[in-house]
Amino acid sequence: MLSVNDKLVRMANQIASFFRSYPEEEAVAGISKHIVAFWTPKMRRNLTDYIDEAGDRLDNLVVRALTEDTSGLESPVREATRDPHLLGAGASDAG
Amino acid sequence: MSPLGGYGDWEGTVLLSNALGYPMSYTHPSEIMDEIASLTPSFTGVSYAKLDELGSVQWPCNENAPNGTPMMHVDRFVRGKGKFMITEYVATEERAGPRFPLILTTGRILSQYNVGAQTRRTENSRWHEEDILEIHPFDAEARGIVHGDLVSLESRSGDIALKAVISERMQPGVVYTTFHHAKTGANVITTDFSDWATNCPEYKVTAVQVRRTNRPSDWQAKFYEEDFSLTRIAQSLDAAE
Repeated sequence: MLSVNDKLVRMANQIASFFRSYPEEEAVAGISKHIVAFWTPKMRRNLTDYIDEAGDRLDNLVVRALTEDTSGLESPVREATRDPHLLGAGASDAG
Repeated sequence: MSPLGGYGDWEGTVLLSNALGYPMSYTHPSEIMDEIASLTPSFTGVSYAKLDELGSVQWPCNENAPNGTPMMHVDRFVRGKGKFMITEYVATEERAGPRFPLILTTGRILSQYNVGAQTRRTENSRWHEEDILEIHPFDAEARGIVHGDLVSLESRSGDIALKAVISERMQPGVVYTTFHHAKTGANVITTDFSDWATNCPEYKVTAVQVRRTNRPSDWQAKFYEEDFSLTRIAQSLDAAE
């Protein structure tokens, strides 16, 4: 049975696998934005605290995403459409 | 069919809301539709009268498209010509091996809906009374399994028992079952792997072994016992002589 922290490592490495085919800066931004958007703060804290212990098992892209300021980097994943009613018919994915 | 609980879902919601102190005074679902239309720009033109008149309405339905929009994105997507994304394949970490040489994939059939909380109470159950395990003739023969045998299905997570059906719909090496009946316990078998993006559980890839058996699994035996003890419908008694 994997520990909770090792499960976080596994999940984060899978996110890194998905973004690996993008340029590195975009991949780091993509991983960071995904983790911030969909993980709880506790999960993020736990994984950040576990970086040293995880060592090579944690993908370097994830380490960068957790420890660097990525606010100026652009993720390959666009944010959801905002104000779809202002953009015209079909701008919303609701329904 | 008329609602088994005596009330439609919307009526139940209204009763619950009123009981919790948030008054709702709808007397017909059309009033709820009107409220949705007043609040949702892409539904502004939708009403029960229009639905009755047109049969169905495809959204968006508003002042720009009074009868709805049968086909969206005809000339362009909202952002233009669309944007292609690279979607790297992220492989599962589940592995078949000597102890668990087969791959189980779970799925649905048309006549039951998910865990069947609604559909198992209907006549649909005549079409699908229980979950069965479909297995390719080669895999069955190697295990001495014939059509209708009770088999044990075991993974690294747990084990259950269910009836086997020999089927060439399966590829050799792959077995299949549905998860419509709680007493089967399909989730006892599946693992805690999930996908990276949405954490959706991985119900399509579980390494398993299949063997003949003559009894339900321990989990199922416990479940049957609890299910029976928690059922509040009185069991009929023989009349005293």
